[in-house]
Amino acid sequence: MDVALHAQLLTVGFSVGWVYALVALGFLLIYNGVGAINFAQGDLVMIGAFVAVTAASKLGLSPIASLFVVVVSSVCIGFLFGRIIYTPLRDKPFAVFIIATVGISIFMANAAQIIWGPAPITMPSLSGDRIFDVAGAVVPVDYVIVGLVSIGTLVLLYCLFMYSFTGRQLRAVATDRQTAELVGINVDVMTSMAFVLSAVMSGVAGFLIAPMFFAIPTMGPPLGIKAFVAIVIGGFGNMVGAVVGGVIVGVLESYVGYYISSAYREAIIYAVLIAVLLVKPTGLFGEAIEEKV
Amino acid sequence: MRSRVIGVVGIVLLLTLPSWIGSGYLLTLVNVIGVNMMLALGLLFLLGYCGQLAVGQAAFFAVGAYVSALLTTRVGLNVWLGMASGVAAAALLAASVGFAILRLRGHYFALATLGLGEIVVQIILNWKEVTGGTDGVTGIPKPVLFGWTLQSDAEFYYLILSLVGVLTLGASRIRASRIGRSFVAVRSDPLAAEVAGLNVFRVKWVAFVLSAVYSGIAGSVYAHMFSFVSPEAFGLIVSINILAMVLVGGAAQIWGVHVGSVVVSGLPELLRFTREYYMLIYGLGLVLVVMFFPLGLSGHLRLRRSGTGGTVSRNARKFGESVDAREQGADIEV
Repeated sequence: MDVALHAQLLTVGFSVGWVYALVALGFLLIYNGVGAINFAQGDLVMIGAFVAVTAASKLGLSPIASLFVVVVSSVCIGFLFGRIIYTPLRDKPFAVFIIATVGISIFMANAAQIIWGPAPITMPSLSGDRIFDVAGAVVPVDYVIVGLVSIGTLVLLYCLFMYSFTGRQLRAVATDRQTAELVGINVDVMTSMAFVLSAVMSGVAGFLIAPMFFAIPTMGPPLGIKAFVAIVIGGFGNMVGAVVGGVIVGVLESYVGYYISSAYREAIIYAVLIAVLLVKPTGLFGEAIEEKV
Repeated sequence: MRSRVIGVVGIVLLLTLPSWIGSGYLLTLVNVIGVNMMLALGLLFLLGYCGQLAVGQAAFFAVGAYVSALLTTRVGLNVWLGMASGVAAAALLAASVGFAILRLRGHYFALATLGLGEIVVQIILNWKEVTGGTDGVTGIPKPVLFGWTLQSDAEFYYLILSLVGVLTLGASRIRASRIGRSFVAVRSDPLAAEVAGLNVFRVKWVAFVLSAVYSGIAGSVYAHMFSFVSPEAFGLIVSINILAMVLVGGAAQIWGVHVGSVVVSGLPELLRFTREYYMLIYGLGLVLVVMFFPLGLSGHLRLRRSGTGGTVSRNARKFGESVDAREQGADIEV
């Protein structure tokens, strides 16, 4: 009984956690490229979820085709986001960028509400509502698919960052903008690239979240904050840390929801954020970030 | 002389306002604007003077409102004592939480305050036995002043008017004082301030507690004015609105936040015809303001005035601040 329960809580927690990891990585990519927090990150996920739902249920596309639609639309949104919001604010203090993204977050949430309505929309199940029943543990197949797709995407991203030329350039810009420019990297192109990649990760996360939860216009900010919590847990700036942090947040949420209260789930995640910031601001894998904290 | 005449006319207009705008919805709106002015003044200490980006001011607003509401309805405490307790509770929350989160800087502080705001709302929503959850608290009693119950919007108008007056005066006195100058020192360069012998942490802590006191006063007035509080009035969007008020008005002059409050609270009424598109416009407007008017209305006015060779405002001279308008206007920048 106990084993089954934990298996269930862990599977759900991990599946959701991998998606959070994806969002966190997108969040971090913009942070590393720009040096400021993007408050609208969660709303990029929200748009991805709605596009996925529309493609799958309104247009009746297959999951693979829907994913393709999500990726293409995310590329466009990410490019525009970088060009319209970030480029004009490049030389301004970080607070200006933060507040601008708050404005964009409000804009996107309300645009989604006008387009898709305020009510939650469901996505048809990826697996036809099948479930795994292993020794009493009941796990929807969707969750497993979501977990696997997320892991696949994360591995793909890891290879991109570590082994491709673009990945190296991206990392160079994140480490030291000026030096990167000096050695001939086109920093502007790389910044656009960071926004596009970040939006794609968020869009894919939205596609994966849609079958597990609902798509609802207000889902953005809480997701963005959870991604931030994941990043803080993992150690700011550290990509592996962000992934581990995302999984921790997912599992934590799953356990808190079962053992303490699902009503206080969000409050507890925020409390964890403040606690980690206070007790171990460098996170699990972080280096010293004296100047930032 | 001319400015004195304008001042007298302004005061007369303010004092007679309820008699010429009537006691309808417009007066309620004016009162709400007054409450928002108190909230914006509170954030002025923290963001405008001290340069700390806080996105959770609604937490103190909520604590001020709920503590006063609950003590007067459930315990039967005198309304004024209830309001004082609300303010004290908000201050206490800031004083204790501040100890922890003020060690964080920049993004981290912003996110921690956002977390604080969300935690308070979640507790109000879920601790139903005490707070009533989404139903809120109803039947909050009206304050009695020398045997005279403040009942109507017009009566509340004068309470709010005098509070805004006192709090504005207080803020400008504090700004001119030693601690006010240390706020600005911390904003311009924390390291230099530290080297000059300021206890940066304590300066920020004072600004944080002051902002909570102002927000707590706003909250307790709000609760007794409407006789009803519910969690919707204290969500993230409220904190963002307060932020927008300070940004729109700018921190270069104290009246900036008043103008900001009028603009941010009045705009939904003026743009009512846009209906569901309003929030869309609002979000976009916020982006445009920080892109094109990062110093706020008061900052840009000052910039223009000094740019055309006009006199630097009286306040600036009084405070002995730099005459460089850019420096002045930069109040909002963190």
